Amino acid sequence: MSVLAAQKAANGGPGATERVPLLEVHDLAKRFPIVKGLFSRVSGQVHAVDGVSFHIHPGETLGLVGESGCGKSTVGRTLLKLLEPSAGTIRVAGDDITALDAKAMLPYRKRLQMIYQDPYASLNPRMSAGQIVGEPLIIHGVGRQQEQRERVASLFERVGLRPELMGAFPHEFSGGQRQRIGIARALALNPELIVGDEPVSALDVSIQAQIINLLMDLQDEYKLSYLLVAHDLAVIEHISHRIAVMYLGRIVEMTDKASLFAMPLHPYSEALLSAVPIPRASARRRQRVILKGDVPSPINPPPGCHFHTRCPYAHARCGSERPTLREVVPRHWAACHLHDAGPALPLARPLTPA
Amino acid sequence: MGRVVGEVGGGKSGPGAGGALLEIDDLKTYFFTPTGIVKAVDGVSYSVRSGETLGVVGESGCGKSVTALSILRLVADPPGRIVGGTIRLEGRNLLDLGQQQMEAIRGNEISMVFQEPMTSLNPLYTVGHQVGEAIALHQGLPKRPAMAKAVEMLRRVSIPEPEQRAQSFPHQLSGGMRQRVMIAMALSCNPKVLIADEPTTALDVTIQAQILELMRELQQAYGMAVVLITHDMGVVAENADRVVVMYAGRKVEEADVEVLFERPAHPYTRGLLHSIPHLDEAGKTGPRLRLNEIKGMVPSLAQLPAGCSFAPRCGQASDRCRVSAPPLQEHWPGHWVACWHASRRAQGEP
Repeated sequence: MSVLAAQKAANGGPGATERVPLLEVHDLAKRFPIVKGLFSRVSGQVHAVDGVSFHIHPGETLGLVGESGCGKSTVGRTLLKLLEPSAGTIRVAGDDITALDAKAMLPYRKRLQMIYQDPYASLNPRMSAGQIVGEPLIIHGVGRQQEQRERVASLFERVGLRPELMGAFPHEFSGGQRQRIGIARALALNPELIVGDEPVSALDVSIQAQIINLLMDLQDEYKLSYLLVAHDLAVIEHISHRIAVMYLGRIVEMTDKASLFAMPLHPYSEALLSAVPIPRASARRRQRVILKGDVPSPINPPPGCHFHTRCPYAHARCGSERPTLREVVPRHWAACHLHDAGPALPLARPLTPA
Repeated sequence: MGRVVGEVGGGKSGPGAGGALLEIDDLKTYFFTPTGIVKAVDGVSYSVRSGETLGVVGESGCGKSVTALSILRLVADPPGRIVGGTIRLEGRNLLDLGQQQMEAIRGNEISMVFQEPMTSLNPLYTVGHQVGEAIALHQGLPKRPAMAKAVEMLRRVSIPEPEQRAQSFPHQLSGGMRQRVMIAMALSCNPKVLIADEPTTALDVTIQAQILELMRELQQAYGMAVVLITHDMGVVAENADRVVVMYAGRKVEEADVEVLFERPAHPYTRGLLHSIPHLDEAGKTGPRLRLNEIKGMVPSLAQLPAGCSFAPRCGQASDRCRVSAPPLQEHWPGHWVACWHASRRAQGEP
């Protein structure tokens, strides 16, 4: 059974209310050319995203986790077609949007929105907060001026900002408030899916909690789907229904969050989970896996399994043959040769300290 | 790092504890700006002993980094100035020293590792040259032996092929490797105190685990005191022996690491610990729980509220909190809290 068909059969994660995925991404790839010299000769390619497939159901949150350079942000941008995909297909509620031009994309842009990491860099400093939140309404010609103003005021209230602040400029807000403006802008057109690219990582801990709660409340209220891209596993764990772990352009493991944390099937997920510091005094006595070396360059990714250069369990086959993402145990996908002859589970150990 | 088992609450903690290598007492560092006096550090005391790791936690603007810069007297003047307190290294007050004497302390006896290794390294020189230069400067070694020692230091921080890596420029190294170079440089003169200001914040978690493990090993080998400044409660829980929590320029709580995480007493510490998503609660899924929020935001240091600075965000604040600032008191042995309501709260109460 192919990954996609198997995922379809699995009917998505908790919170899925319908059987048709809102978003389906199949074998998505994004390569960036490396140009050199006077005549911009293409001398190589960065394989940022290298054949990624997943789906998201209405009302569901998929967390995409991985370290810097693994391609997780590029996945988010490519599926919104802010970057042109190099290969693969993107479907929104069954419609293939992969080849659509900017004009044909317009109705889909209403349905797919984005929240950025740095709320300061993503807000125009010369526009007032009200203009920023109202701009999507103007671009898409939604409502008359008075209606737009009322809509912006109600969005302000919904994200926890006082509507009197509509005239203030981005620099007059704190980091958490700016992220609320970014969220209000993303909500303006009643989207179905929001891609959040590290939406809380620039915020202080006490403000992070406020924004995470807001995102979860909005999801319940509007049945939003989220693709949340983040490097912080604790945040991803808290907010997601399902989690996909990426390493060097590929998804290496994907399942519901309980299965991932109870029983990681991919050695990289296992190492990632054990590397996250836990804010408990008892955590210092736990066993951990410390990986050797650095993430290889996506310009020259290693052959076979991308992780084999750092994998404590690597064997000969891993250096030559790419493992496919397959359903190792029901509803739990992993791309690892260790499980070629059925699940090999001494690998997994519980995360909680003994 | 180099943790001492079985010494919990043994009366060793807190301001003025005996045997301290570095001791800061009532430090005040203010910034004189056109919009008013910013009290970045306002009466902070802490101490650290040989072989011990002191974690200093707090959110941006709480004064944790300015305290560290004050120790090395690296605060830009103007606008900043140390206006009060003492900083004693083995009994000697660093604030009494002249510039030249201070230069002999920096790098030799107290070293610092910063968050962003790329901005701390010179892009125009090889990393071997930079580590060697530090050694030549501080230890008065000629160039060739200094370079040889630089390569040796790169080997000690587990940089593979140190002879070749010494010829690399900073941009040719990964973030984790650059931070190893910074640590090699900081440790090259066998400092007594290492101040690490968010040393792993810019790194990925698997690399962070490598660097923290390396720092633990080196601390065990050299027996230095480490001041670990971070916003990450997980990093503190796993690496510190004792923890200082700062808020708005003041220390609000100090305790041994087990006590702080099991029985936090200041409402701010409790709020912080409850507001972060915990990984080890996975498995118990079901409905996603809302996180505990700390309402509002950190006050501006130029316009601090009267009384306790945390009172406007505190669910337990009373009239007294809004009028007068609570002193830091040892409510339980080795457990210091600046809160009017700390003693009313029995330890262990959720």
